[in-house]
Amino acid sequence: MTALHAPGTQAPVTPAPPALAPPALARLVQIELRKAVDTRAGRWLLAVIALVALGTAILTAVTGGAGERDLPHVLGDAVQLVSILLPVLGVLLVTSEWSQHTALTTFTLVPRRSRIIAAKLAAGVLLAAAATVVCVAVSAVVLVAADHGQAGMWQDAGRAIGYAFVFQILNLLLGVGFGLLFRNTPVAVVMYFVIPAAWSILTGAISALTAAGHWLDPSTAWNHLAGGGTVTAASWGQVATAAAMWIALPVLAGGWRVLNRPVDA
Amino acid sequence: MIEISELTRRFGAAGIREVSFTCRPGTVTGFLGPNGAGKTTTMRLLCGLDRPDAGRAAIDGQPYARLPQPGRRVGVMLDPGAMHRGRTGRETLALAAAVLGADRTRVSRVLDLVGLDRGAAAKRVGQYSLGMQQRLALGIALLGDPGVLILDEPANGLDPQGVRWIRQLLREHADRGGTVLLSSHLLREVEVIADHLVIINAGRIVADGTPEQLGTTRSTLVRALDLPALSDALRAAGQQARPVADGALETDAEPEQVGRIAARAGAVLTELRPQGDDLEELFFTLTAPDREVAA
Repeated sequence: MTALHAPGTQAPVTPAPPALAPPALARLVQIELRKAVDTRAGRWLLAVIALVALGTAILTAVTGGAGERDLPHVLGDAVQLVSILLPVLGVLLVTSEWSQHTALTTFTLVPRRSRIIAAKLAAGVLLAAAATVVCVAVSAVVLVAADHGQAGMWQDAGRAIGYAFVFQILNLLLGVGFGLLFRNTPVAVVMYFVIPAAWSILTGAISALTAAGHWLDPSTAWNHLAGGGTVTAASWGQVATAAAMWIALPVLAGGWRVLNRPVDA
Repeated sequence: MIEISELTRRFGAAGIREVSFTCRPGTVTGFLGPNGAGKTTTMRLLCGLDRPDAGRAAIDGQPYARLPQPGRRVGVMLDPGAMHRGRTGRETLALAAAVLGADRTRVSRVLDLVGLDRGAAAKRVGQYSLGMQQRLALGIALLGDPGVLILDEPANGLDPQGVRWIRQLLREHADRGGTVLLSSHLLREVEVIADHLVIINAGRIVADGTPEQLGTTRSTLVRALDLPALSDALRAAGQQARPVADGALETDAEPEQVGRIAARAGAVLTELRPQGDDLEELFFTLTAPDREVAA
């Protein structure tokens, strides 16, 4: 690194062309996706997620009862375990900017902070979709490999895959929301594990809150999507209310703070 | 062009009050002040990272946050630690280049420019020395080939070679018509390069002008066995030579220049030294603690 180059051979400083376009949102999304995979920590997390999907799928396909050896059940189990890790991925999409002090550079290059938040949300959706594709592929391969000659293995497969996409996206966005709210990796990860669990215990223990739990507890409301069965209209309502409380609220509150407060790095 | 006008940001009793100054194209502005005087606060407000309570700051006539592609207009380096420690140097630059829409060759050229070779560029930032981090951070600032540079303590952590390199880089940037604003606590460094000085103390601007206006021009004191002969030689070389009271000469030429002129003239020197560290004196006079109360 000691080779010092004389900076003398450059052209005169020219004024920038007047109509420079801001970076397109699609490019910012691409950059956020790249940030998720260009560090060792990021690649490890993605590898662990893929391994968890594979392990769970094998376990269900091999050891599950006769009624569970179909795609909806194998896939449901795979996405359910993967969904424990996806919020961590979502948290890191946001908090790495603060824990690694890169927010300063990011917001200096893109002062319209809302575009960075939008890009992170979009990147989260795409990563969740990619994780789902991996789960579906792994589940299908495992089912075929462990073929028990059972009819109806692929029954309701399309519907189950659709549910899996929604389920994974919701779980990852929950992480993005917690990341925006706390902007600190350990705090956001711990809060993601503690707050919904505490809420579940609370609504389970106090009978007056049990009904509320069905609507506002993500582990209850969203698990309809990964249970292998059909989701009723009422269950969709519960999915939506839990999403409003655990995704929309943190994203709005955390996002407001990122937009309006000084960049703290 | 950087225009800062009546910029105010309060943090309790601290912060900055009605800070105004202008950095013109073709000049290097040295922004000086003790720790906590408001240098970084002013630069953060200038770059839209914080909002002022009052006042305005503009780059080429526009607030920073309204620049569509700020990296192409302004190179900013506020904190060389603002980089992910798990990314390689090249990847760090490549991400910034993607935002700017710059291509791969530009990344390689900038790595070359800031003196990070292939091996260094492939290392993760966490393994970098402070000086290497500083070079990489400068690389991000220079990536979009901007006309304006805003640099907080750019010489921090650089070895003497590096300090000289950045001095040359910034001087040439200004000579090509660029605008440079740099903060520093290294008075000597700023004195050598800046043609405009702004001194801030306790959140207020206490001095703003050229080194000549502020009376901080440095000179050289020289004594010789044959003083009149040396005086003639200096004048013949186009330098001024002012006799001072105790039988010495004062000149604006650098000590090295004086030495060469004397050698050519065969004059025997008995003393040769730079003198009048006036910027330091001015700095301490203006930023003395008892003035904070008065301000």
